[in-house]
Amino acid sequence: MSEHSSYIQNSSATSVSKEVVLAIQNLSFAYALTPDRNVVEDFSCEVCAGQISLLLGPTGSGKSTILSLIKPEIAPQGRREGSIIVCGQEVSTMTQAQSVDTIAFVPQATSQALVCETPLKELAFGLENRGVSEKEMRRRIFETISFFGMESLLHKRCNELSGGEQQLVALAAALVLRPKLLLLDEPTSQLDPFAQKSFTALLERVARELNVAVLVATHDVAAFEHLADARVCLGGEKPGALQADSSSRQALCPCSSVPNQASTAADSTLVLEFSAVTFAYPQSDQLALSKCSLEVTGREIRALVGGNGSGKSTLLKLAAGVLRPRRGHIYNQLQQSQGYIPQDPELLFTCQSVGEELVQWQQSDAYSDQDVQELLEASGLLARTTYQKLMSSHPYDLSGGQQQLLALVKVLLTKARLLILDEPTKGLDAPTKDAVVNLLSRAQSEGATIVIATHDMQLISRVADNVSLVFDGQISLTEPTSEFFENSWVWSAE
Amino acid sequence: MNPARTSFSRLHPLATVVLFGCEVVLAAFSFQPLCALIAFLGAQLCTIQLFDTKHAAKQLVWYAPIIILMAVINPFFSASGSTILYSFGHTQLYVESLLYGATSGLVLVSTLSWLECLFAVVSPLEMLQRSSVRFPGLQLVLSLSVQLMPQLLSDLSTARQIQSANTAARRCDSAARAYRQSNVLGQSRLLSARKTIAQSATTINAVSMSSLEKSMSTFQSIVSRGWGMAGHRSRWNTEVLDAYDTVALLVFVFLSVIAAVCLYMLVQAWQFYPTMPEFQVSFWYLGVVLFTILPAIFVRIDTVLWEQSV
Repeated sequence: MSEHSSYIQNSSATSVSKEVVLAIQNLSFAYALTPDRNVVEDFSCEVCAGQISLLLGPTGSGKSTILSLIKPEIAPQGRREGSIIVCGQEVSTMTQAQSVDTIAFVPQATSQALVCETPLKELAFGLENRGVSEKEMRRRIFETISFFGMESLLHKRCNELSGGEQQLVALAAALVLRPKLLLLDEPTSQLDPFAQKSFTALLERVARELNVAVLVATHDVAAFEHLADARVCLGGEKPGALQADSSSRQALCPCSSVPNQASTAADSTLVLEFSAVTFAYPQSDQLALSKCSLEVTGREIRALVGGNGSGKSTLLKLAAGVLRPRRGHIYNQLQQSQGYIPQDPELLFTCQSVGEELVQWQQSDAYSDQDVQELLEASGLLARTTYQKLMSSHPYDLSGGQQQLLALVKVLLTKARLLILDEPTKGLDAPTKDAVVNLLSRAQSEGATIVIATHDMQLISRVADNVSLVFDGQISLTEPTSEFFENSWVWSAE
Repeated sequence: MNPARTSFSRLHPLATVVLFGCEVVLAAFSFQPLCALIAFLGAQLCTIQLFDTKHAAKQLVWYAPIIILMAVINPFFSASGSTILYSFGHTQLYVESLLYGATSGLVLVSTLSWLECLFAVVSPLEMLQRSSVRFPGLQLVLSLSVQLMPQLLSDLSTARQIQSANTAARRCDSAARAYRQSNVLGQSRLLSARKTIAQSATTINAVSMSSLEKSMSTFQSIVSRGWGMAGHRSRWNTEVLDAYDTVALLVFVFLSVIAAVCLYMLVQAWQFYPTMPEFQVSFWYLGVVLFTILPAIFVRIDTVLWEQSV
């Protein structure tokens, strides 16, 4: 077939194709280590060519497991029942070549998924493995790069790309193999709202123009709602229940935002102050913060918003005292009673079980076992399991969202008076976000001051007293939350 | 980018590696005082071109003591020769052994300088990767290793930051509290050391566990894109050896052969012990000098040709 006719076929296929690419029937799965407990129970779904389907479900409901089961090379060990048919073939009977040609998978942590030095080599990696001829490789790489408009990234170092760019490269590297089915695990969890929009727009083009069936496991219904053709829910939740989360956009409107009940507790004592703080990382010419000034009062919840790379995380590290300003002064009244959770909470876990993790800082009876159980219940971590089971689990066996919650619980148990949190709701579903909101409000009512860097506008609208916009290394403005949303064109219009 | 580096970045890496590789080899075999000096001066000239004068001067601060040290030490290990410069009791200091030491120092230093020049235009990693194109496993390991180290260091730094930033947790920690409350100096130090060791172990444990966990995502990404698939594997290669590169490569090879012959003749005609021959003006030096300043000549010609091509 000529290239020209192929192009026309692709275009016309957009509107008429209803070919079922993925069909899952009565799928149940139990991991080999826990054969008596099904993580996936009687699950069925269909995804057609050119369509985007969302795989929804609470934190830890088995979304990532289902995606792994569809891709035979990375399928976990365990007992599987039911069938997974991709392009008319049972995946367990597929050869590796057939799987590579048909199914593409983009894992959650895209920074770990990029294995070559530059995006160009990353794109060539899969094609080289597949033994694609050099001529064909050139065509595919050129087409993919043109399709995504990523010419400027080609020769950059992968580890120097922003989160959005890394996600784009991972997607391009998967699609350069021209799969029929694309599996994405939490693709937008690391992105700021603007990068999310760019990414979802590209994903829509992939599905519609290239006629690829797309299955996205996500908590962020709002990001995909406008382009999803189907929603599949796990863990007994109804689509409607999760769709409620998608209305979170309206929470951005001041009229619908729920005021923070504990906010009245805020006092006027200054507990954290940045005076013209300038900071640059070693061996970097660029200033991360430039003459940045910030004032946070006691028992206040302050949200820091801004794009990726705007300096929010740096600001939090400076507040926590782990970085020292090059110029300017930082006053932190609560430095001896603070808790800090970075973006990647994994590094907070040093023990072999959740139980050990939660009592690690209990050595001098600073909190009781009852406190632990109470906070675990309030966090929702016990919603799908028992206290004993959870306490004996390894922290790394929890899902990304559960790890985030566990980190928060671990730090809250110390009764820190200043909480410094970097993206505390990253990768959490709507009910778990509710739990985080409750935990933060509770901490505030008990006297804690909280500084949060986040992209989650829903969280801000529900808990923050004031919002500071971090832009170009400075706090561009600070406003009460309601005023921030009232005056914002972008957020209220979303 | 530095204009000299730009010239080499326009050239096919094979030609660059051949040129600098030959410079390194010939410098390493220049066991004749004048040839060693020529190799050293050539390397310094190239360093100035590829870096700057300040960098070359900084290098000399390190290299000069090496040359002097080797010149001074050699007579004590090899007290041979016929021209006595000085006598310490029964020990004689010969001019020959002094010059041999100085020549050895020059050879060592110029070889190192040429290696630095080579790595300035083609990174060691790039060289390893290019030389292992037939071994994709090695290439992948190299690529992953390059990413792993910064990742580990960054994780280590974050883990330390978590430890130091969670001060409320330290308040709960009985060991830390005992340390703060301890009045006895020895006991305090012991507790402090114990605490530091425990904290370091905790940090390393957290980073190791996290790295192992992250490696799962990397593994998934690799195998899901066909790694280890049986059958033919192809190779993406964007480097093209054009006519310009070929001419440059042939000139480099030709001049390196001439330089090798010239160097061989000069080294053969020379001896340090027991007596050194007189230095004589010879045409053989021309070949050595020409090849030593070849990188500088190439940069000049390339720049002129590039500017004329507008």
